Amino acid sequence: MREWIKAMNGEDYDYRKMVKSRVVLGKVYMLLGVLEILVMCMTVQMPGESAGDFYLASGIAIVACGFLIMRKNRRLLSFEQEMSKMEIREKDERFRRIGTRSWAMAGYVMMIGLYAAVLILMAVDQQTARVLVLVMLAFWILVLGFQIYFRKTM
Amino acid sequence: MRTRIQELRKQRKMSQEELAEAVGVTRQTITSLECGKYVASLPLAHRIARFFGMAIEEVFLFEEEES
Repeated sequence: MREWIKAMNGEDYDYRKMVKSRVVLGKVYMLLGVLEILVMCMTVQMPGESAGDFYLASGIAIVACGFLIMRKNRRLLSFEQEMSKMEIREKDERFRRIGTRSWAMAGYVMMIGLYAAVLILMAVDQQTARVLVLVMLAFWILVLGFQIYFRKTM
Repeated sequence: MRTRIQELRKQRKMSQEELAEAVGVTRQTITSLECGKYVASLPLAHRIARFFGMAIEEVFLFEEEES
């Protein structure tokens, strides 16, 4: 967990520990996916067929993702040279900056899109519009929260 | 920002891959630095300058110095 926080803060981190934590994460994803499928199977009545199909499909997808994450990171632990190459790639400052900027731009564009959607939906489907407004509000609260955190830590 | 990275690298008969490995970045970053598309951070600029055995301002050309 500490390595994840260091990575997100742009600090140097122990790459081997990060890879090991990703193996654990892969296992967690697989477990969550299986649980999701089990819950779907155990539930007698679902609110509409599409909900059951969604849980089944997402459960299978999460199990598959978890398996791939676990397999990829276990392989890295076995091959030192490959792990050093991946470490350079992931810690490369240009690579990190591209990732940070992509997330930031996506956030801006998403907010504009959501706002436009709210304006249209208010006239057509108010319930959905209200949900979108709550999503926007939650996003802005998170942005403010992280700004306060980073002002104190940086 | 203009740099002398390509010039200094070729003087030492090094590939971009070799330089990238020496300073701990990807080959794509070295390419972007040489084209002037990407501006290195201070720690990276310091590592590159130290690798070439030169001062930062001798490797990275600031606009005032260019003119």
